[in-house]
Amino acid sequence: MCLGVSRVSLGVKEAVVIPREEAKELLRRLRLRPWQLPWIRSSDPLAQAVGAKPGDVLKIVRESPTAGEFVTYRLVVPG
Amino acid sequence: MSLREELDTIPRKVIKSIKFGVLSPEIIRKYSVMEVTTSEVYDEGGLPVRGGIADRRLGVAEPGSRCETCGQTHDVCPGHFGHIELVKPVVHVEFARVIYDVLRATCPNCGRIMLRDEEARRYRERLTKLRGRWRLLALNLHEKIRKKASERTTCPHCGYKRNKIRFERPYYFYEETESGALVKLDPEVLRDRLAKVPGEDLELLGFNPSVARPEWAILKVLPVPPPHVRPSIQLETGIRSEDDLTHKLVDIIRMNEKLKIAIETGAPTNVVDNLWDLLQYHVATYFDNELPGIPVAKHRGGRPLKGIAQRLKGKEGRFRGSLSGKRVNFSARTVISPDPHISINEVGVPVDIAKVLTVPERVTTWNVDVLREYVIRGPEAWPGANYVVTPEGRRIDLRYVKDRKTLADRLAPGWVVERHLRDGDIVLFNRQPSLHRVSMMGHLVKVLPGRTFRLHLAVCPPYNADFDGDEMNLHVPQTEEARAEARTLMLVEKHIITPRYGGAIIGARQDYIIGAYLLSHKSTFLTKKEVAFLLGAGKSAEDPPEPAILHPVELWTGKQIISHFLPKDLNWVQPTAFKSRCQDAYRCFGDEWIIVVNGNLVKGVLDKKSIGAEQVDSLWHRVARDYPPEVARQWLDSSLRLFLRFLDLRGFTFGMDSIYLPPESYKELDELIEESLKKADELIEEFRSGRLEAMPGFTVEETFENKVTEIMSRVREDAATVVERYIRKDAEGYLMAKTGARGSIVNIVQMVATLGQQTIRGERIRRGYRTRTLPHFSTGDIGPYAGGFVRRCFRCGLSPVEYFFHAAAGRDGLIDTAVRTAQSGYMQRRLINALQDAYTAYDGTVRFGGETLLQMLYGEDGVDVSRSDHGKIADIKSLKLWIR
Repeated sequence: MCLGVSRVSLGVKEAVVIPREEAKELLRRLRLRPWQLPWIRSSDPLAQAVGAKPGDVLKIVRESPTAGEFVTYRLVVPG
Repeated sequence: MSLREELDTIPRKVIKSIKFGVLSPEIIRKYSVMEVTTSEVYDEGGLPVRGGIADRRLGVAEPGSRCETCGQTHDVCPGHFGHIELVKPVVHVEFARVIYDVLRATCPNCGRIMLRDEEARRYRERLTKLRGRWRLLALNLHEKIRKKASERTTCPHCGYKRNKIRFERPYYFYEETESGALVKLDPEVLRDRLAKVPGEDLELLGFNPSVARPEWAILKVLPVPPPHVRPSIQLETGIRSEDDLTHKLVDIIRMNEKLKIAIETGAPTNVVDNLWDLLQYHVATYFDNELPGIPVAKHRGGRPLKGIAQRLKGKEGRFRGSLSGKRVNFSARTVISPDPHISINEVGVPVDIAKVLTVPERVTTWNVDVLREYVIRGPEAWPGANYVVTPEGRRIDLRYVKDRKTLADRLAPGWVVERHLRDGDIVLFNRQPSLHRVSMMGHLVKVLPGRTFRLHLAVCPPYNADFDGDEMNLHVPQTEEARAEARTLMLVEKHIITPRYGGAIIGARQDYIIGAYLLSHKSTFLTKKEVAFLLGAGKSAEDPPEPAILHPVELWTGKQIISHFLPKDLNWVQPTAFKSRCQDAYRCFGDEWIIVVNGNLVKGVLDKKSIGAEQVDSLWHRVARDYPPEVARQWLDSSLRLFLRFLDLRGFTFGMDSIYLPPESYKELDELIEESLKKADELIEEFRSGRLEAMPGFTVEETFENKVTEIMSRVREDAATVVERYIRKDAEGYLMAKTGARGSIVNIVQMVATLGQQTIRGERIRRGYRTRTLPHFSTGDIGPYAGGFVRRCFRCGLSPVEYFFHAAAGRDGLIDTAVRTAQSGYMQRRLINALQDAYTAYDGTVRFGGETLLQMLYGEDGVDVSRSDHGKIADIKSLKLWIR
């Protein structure tokens, strides 16, 4: 998988669209409505690279100066 | 609090939400209690004219009269709005932009939005979908719709070909005809056009037509605020001075009257238009008197009038000045000065202040005797009392009580005495700018003679205070809860560890460090008398240890005295600033490593690295972290006093002989500088002959500058190694620099060897004359001396030219600091405002105002930095020492 510029400048190691069920479980655990997650535009190079559609939840693994590796989630929004 | 007052605190209505909209002319009329019809304010008798701006029906703001609308007096009457019927409508300046947006997106003929029905329907569908879940995206969509509609020139509904509309700030609108001529659109035309736009089209543009129709942005009726909003002041001479808003309203009414007469008498259109424009001007400046492009409305005296916007805007405006910032009672402010004898927990309060600030103390059977004494002593003598509150809630001012003795006798449980501040009271102490939480800490009062607040030198860093005239504020908590919170949460000793990174922000500095170094030095031996003196300074009640030397006289080492105060179970190993080749602490014979075994300082000298503030992995950091705050504080209090007393005892001074260098060192320095000058000359030769090659990304001139600056700046570093080699190792300046007490080797180099290259904004000095820096040099001189290289030193004296360059570089530094503080201060303010709703939730996630998620785990590793060891969860080194 080619993550392009996100890999180089943001230290993104992995990005996948997680299945709907998993996303629901995540939102339930965090007690969030989908829009309360951090967003990523579907036109973002990273979202394009993994073919994410608006409404998807993206799992992003990033390098972190404090934790070494960090898992975060973003909601894909149109635009 | 009486029952009645308590009842008033019970909420009877709860605000669930606030809706913002624009007042329609009908609502303004309905809300109004009267129409203001005359510009006259008062008649000859000084009474308000009926129908005027000071009409009693609008409410009364001054005592003595009754409101004609509600019949209440000034302190109860809330005030009632009136209105002015404008003869001709005018644009509301604050909405001019909105009007422009709507005009561009709609058809002037049929009023429909410039979109095909099909497009409108699709957008409407998308909007209803977005509004439920993506409110922010809906806002973007409105913007997009507006742009799309504005692009079209032919109306898809009626086929009308639209002309381009021009908006000229602040409130003029023009239409561009085909011939290119500009036709002015007056507010009446604007209003007609806006009124034609149907509600459903407005929704596409982001309006909620039930509360904000665009034509309401054209004012036909102007609300008149009650006098409570614009109170008039009665001067001592009896002359009434009216508020700026009142003046402005009178202007509006007057112009309205003139316009009315002009229209009724059938004046020519250009006269009417002129008056209309003036009315527009007055209404606009009533709202905002700092509009760009139009003259500021002024008083007769030339002072600009304050519009409504000016009341709200800026630092002194309603929001920043009155709502976010208020003034408080039970507070004091004065100059601060140092006192090394008090505890870091304490603050010295002048007696004069202690006699004004009070603490309410409830009378009980246990304190009644003390409080009686205070009451008898009264407000003049300290410690006394200023007020007594009876159980019925009556406040008795002791200044006016003739017989305080009998009053004191009446004191019984249930009474409250507002006694003077006394030793041991908790107060909050603060220095602006309050950038972090340690800018305001709890201190224990120590009432002292004098007129300044006294604080311990070790608490200067958290406040960023010095004593060059700094002032600080003091607040006295008034309830038991507040005092308890201050004591348990805010006391200085609880803030030795800074929340920034978990290190100590309070610690030894300057004199303390050099004192500690000298005391811990191997050559320090103390007689019995001296030991007693020092232990007294440290306020130790324990017996001194066995002397290190018993015969012929009993002598103690300095390390023994230091150990006397260390916690008995402390173990620690760390290198000192004097560490050279020794890598193993236990096999090093010098004092290069600190070794503490069971609270005994067996080896090593103390320096900034071990007891200084903000030092990673230091002796003091360990004490502050591993022991309770009061133990750490006690150690700091007594040890710092001890170091200072030892310094007094021994004496420490700095003179010409502290910066003595042997003659041979000067020969070496001369050679070194000569060599650099030669190198620079060679470079100049290379540059002049054009042989110098440009470095990538630079011109030849820049390359030359960079290289010369590099060569000349290195002189100081090279000189530092020479100076360090030759200077006496027990020279005071060297010791201060080495232990970290004050100054650095560079400072010594500047005193004894050379000042080195002077720079302005990181570059050699180049400004001055066209081809040279000063007339002392030949034209076109680009050599080291002309570029601000100062060969001489402070001890041997500077030449006038050198002195000038040094001053120029010094001034540059000062300006730089001033600019930096201003910029970083504003950045900090914006950051704080932007992030104030962010918080870490119980599940470790960072959320924003309970709404959105910012981070899945705080700091990505979930570490609370304020409880960590410099950002790490645990300090492995000290854990290892514990296991050992």
